[in-house]
Amino acid sequence: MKSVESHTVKSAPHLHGWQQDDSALIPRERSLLIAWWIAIILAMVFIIGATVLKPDPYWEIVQFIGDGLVVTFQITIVSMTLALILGLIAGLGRTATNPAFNTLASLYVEVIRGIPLLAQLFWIYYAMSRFIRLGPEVSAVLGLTICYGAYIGETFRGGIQSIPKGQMEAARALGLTRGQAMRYVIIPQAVRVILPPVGNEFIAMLKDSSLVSVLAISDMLRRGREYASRTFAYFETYTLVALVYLLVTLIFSRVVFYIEQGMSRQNKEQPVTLMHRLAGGVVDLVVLDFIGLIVYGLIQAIGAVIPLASPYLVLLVVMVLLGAVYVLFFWTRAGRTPGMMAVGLRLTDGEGAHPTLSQAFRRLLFLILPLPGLSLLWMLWSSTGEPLHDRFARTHIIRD
Amino acid sequence: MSTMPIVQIRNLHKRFGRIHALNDVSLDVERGEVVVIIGPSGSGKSTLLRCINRLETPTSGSISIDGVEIRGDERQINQMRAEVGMVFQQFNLFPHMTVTENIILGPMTVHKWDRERAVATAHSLLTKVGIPEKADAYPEQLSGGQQQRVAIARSLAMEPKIMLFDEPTSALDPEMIKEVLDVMLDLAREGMTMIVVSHEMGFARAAAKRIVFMDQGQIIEVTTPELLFTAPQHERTKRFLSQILH
Repeated sequence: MKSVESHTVKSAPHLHGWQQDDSALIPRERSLLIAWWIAIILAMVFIIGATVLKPDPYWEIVQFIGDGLVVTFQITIVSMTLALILGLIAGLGRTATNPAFNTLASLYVEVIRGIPLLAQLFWIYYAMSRFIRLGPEVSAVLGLTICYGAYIGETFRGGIQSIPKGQMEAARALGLTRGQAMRYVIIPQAVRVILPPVGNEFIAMLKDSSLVSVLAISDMLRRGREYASRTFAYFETYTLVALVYLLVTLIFSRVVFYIEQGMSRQNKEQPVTLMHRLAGGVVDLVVLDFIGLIVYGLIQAIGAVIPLASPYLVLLVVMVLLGAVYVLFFWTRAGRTPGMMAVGLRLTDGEGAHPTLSQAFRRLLFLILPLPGLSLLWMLWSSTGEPLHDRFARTHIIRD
Repeated sequence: MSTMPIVQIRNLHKRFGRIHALNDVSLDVERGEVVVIIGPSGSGKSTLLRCINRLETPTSGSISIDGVEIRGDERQINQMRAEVGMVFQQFNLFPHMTVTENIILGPMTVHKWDRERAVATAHSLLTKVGIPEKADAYPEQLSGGQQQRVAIARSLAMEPKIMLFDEPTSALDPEMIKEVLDVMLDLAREGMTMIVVSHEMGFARAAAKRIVFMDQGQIIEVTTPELLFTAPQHERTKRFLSQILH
């Protein structure tokens, strides 16, 4: 750890002009890191300790809200992806020269940012039912997407506008069209500025997704409420719910930190620590989880038309195939998975070189965790064919 | 056709709000000629240059390049820009691309060259500007002088008919000015048409056929380097020269 930190400080003056880093002058990074370790160790000690020492009710709560955590993840990942698309459109609109497009995008951002997310969710689910009835899941995703699309749009606008004017001028002076200049010159640079704040938006959305529990969606908070209202174990349940949110948020905030670091050390050979690899693994996990969700949805859609022998077997096969593609991607892209690229790592030296077998094998070990997408694993494990609510009934009967 | 001036500027006006940045400017530049524009800051030199390749839209007046009058239409402007290279004071290299990638972007996207041809051109241009070994470096790893030479190579890769230089050495440390000026001198000797905004009098003396003195948005005097120093016509020119040649 020590070598990495000293390196960060040393490399600071060589960063690009717009990524000035004053960490050498203000040593607050280290105390932040210590606070992070204290928080995550306390949270883990409590969760694991309570579960082991007092399985009744904690182990039961963990199992119960685990289903909800999967739902929380799914809603967040789908909404975030859609919000990124919407945000890109809004951000480009806010920087566009076309007055109609610009005004439209600004109107969207101003209106949406002025309404609380909870009010938006109520409006979409209840008020809009006068015109069109949307299911709770669709309403939740729509609400989060529209709300965060506006915030992310502003982040994108800031990122695009942070690129010096001379970049656009130089590109245009070469004869590139405005669109080409955006695509080849402005956006690739803006992405580096934007990625860390977008990561923070992801964390914020993960927490805000608890609001969708008002739409009768069994996310983690609602699962906790369901459990607590029947067992009256309010203290135990809500403590655990809060700690799991904290744990997840802490992990992702660290990942965002590494992404931020990775952005400023592109194209440089730098030491790789276990934490870097883990952070890359978490990004891979999110990416694979999203792909897995799409595949899962497709299988369900196909299963509705053509009866499949066992949708779970099919799912398992698909996920293994997906993992294989991922490893292949890693192999051909010179040791870079999306997660590795996000934190600015590559295993091999130089462009286009293939990793050695042992490097590939080590990477494979790191891929075992995120390989089939964690939330899908949970679904496979937890679904013994019965829906969530039946499982509750079963656990509850056992308790009685 | 070939006897016609390659750049014809007629009665050009440019206003930024209340500021009259260019006030009735007319200028012809011959094929293969090197014209150096001097003048105090705010005199409209850069604005004139930026109007030529339409980074600024003129308020009125006309500019013809190679006999074609440039109007507002985007396609025509992009076509013209592909033939008019520009080098900026701040280099404006693309920091996320290597030196080679910086140079091949224009030819590959605008001229639709294949990668092989563009890279070959890039390497020969890098040799020409004297830094072939920096092909895979990133701009931040280069000195200011090297960056500016890459910027010149990037413009040349488009095979322009005219090169515009907007104070190319003003942002450089003194010891790096010469390496950039040498590249520009070579270019001038090869017969490139160049319009240069610069106060490098050494370069002007060595390369320029004519010197244009501008003040307050107007061309005050057009002269040769020899006459400028020995017999400046106007009081304002004299005053300006005494300020820069202390």
